[in-house]
Amino acid sequence: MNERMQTGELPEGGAIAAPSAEVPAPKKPETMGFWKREWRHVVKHRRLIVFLVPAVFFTILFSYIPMLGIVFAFKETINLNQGDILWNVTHGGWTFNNFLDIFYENDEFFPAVANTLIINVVRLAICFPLSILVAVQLSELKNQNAAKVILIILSIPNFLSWVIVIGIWSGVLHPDYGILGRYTGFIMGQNEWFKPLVVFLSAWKGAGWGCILYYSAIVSIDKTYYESATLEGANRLQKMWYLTIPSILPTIALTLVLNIAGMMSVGFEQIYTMMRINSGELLLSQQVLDTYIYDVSITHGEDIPFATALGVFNGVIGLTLMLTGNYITSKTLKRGLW
Amino acid sequence: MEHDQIRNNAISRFFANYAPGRFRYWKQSSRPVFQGGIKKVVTALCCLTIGVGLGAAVWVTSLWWLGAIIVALFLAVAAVNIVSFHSYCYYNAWELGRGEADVDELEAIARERYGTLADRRLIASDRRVERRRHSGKHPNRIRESALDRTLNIVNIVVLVCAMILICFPLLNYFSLAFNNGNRNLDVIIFPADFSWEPMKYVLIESGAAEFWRSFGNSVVYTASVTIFQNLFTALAAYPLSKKDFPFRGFILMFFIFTMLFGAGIMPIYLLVKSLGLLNTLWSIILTGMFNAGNMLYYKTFFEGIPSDVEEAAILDGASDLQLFFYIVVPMSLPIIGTCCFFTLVGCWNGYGGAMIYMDQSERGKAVSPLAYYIYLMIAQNSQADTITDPWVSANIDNIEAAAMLASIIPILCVYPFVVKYIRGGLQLGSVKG
Repeated sequence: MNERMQTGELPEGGAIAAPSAEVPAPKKPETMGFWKREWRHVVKHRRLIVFLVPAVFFTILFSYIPMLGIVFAFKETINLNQGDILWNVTHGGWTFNNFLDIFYENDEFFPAVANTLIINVVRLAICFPLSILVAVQLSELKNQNAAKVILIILSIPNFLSWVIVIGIWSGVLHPDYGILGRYTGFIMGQNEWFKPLVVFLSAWKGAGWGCILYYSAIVSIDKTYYESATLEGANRLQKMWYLTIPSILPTIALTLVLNIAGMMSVGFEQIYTMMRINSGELLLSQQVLDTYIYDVSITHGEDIPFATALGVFNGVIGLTLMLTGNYITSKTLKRGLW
Repeated sequence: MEHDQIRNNAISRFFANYAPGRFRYWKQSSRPVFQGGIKKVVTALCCLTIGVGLGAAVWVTSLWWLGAIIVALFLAVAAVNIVSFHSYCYYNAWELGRGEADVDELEAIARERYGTLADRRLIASDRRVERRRHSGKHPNRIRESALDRTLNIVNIVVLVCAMILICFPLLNYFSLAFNNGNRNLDVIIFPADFSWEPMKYVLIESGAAEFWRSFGNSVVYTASVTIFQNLFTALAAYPLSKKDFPFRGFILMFFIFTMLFGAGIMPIYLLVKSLGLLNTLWSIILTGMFNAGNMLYYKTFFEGIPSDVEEAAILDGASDLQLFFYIVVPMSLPIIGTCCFFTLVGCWNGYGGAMIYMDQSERGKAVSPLAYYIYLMIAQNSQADTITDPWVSANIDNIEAAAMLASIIPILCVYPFVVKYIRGGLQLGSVKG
């Protein structure tokens, strides 16, 4: 091809010449009107529309109809003993005080937010690099079959339920008969050890799973890079730092942004189960945002407007974080979160 | 002297007939005078020491049968070595003693058959080179530096520590499931006082009714959600993977918005309540019928299927449903396997939904899935004074461990078979997000 290009037989770039002018070009869809074009597509895909029906039905039923419930947050009272929900919405006064109640004269909200942020930041600082580190180490093993087996073993805890993970560790850390607990004393259930244990259990459960993601990214790196780096005299540490890490940087950045976007939720099952198993009661210093909302909504459940306001507030924060994360990834990585 | 004659004693015949490989190895590695047998003696002694020591340790502390198996294995290896050393000596002595051969003659035969010692060293080094060539490494490859070798060791040490950190609590805790409660203190990674009683209690005796009831609930819940969620999700993703589907962007945003923003649990709780689904399995089944995140994975995968395949099928007269189920689904098995497995694990392990929609009344317990049942069991046991049976109150931790072990077995059975799908699927998912 190159020779022919040089001799001028073909235009540069090897493109085939455009069809000559006497063949009339088909009418491009762009020149049609918007509605006409869409109608053509509807006709073309008319049978496929049926495929969407169940998904749209369940999305509307369990995602969009509850969103109408946001109006509860602006009601003064909702008393389901007096009438059904519709009666309550149409009767009674409107107020914005439910949202203000979240901040004023509420000694549970700010500790919960503080706990959530503390736990999440520490978890991000520890668990996140940990799984990258282990994945890099696994990929450095000479016996890659062994690496795969180790990977499977490390990711087993991810497939255990939170209640089982917590059960295992409260057994191991039991102050009387636990194999570690008999030396460390009373840890599981002590207030000052609660947050470190939350982070530790998250790492124990999730690090191996994070590994799989990074490991499959590392394995898909072209091996010739490593060979040429070896020939250039790079040692292993240099190869890791200048080759492996930059190659998986997109994956790392994506996971980081996703983590930051999920900053306001800690994992309700984990915290709630740890609280319940430890002391049987819900301590203020252990409460996080998710468990606080659960307590207000389900355990107590009388103050429907306030619980709804809390949920909506949390949802708005989550939405903001997600949109910010998407903005950051689309600016830096040239692709969105979805 | 005939070759058969040399072999003509019972033990040599045994090795020739039943362990020809070992026989050959032994012949070649030994010289026909009293040299080279020391390796066998050392091996045998090591096996005896290690086997007896380790086996006795296991035997004494916990499972006697495991100890016996270990002892037997090591003793067998030791015995083979002793026997082969003995027959090796015997054969030489026999030949020499009968005057049928002298040392020089034997050495000559050996030299003829195997070459001199220098020859054999040459052959061995050749063989080493050969082996290295077949092991996939270049024989002239660049040697590793000291730093790299140190890194290797650090690597292995760290990974072994990680494995221990993962496996040790699992083994320690789940061996309680086979332990008698009186000796929980002695459990390390084996049951100290082996018994099936806690398992029996959970699976067959008094705990069985509740366990199997919630097990059945979990199976129904997991199976229905896994099947229908993935069916509906894949069905929705397929039209959206067509670039020219009408209002594609709008419909996509319609689904994605549910991932970004939710109105909290209070409105959806009230909705489920007003539908009359509280304290029924339907509450957690119906709310899990669609997953927008998985839909994006499916959509990304379907977009990668070449359109030529579909066009060919359309030319052959396939309808849309036929196209989907006979062409698209078989081509996207990796992503379907991955998503199905994640849904399955999420349903089997999750109990957040059950905590919201089911209370702790009898009616709620009757429909609770397995994870929620275990959660209730543990939450109650931590402040339980109500247990009357002395055996149960002594073994309560072991019973918990047994219930947990029984509940994770289905997942652990499935996992090794789908793990290769998962790695492939994850790559697919992470390539395009």
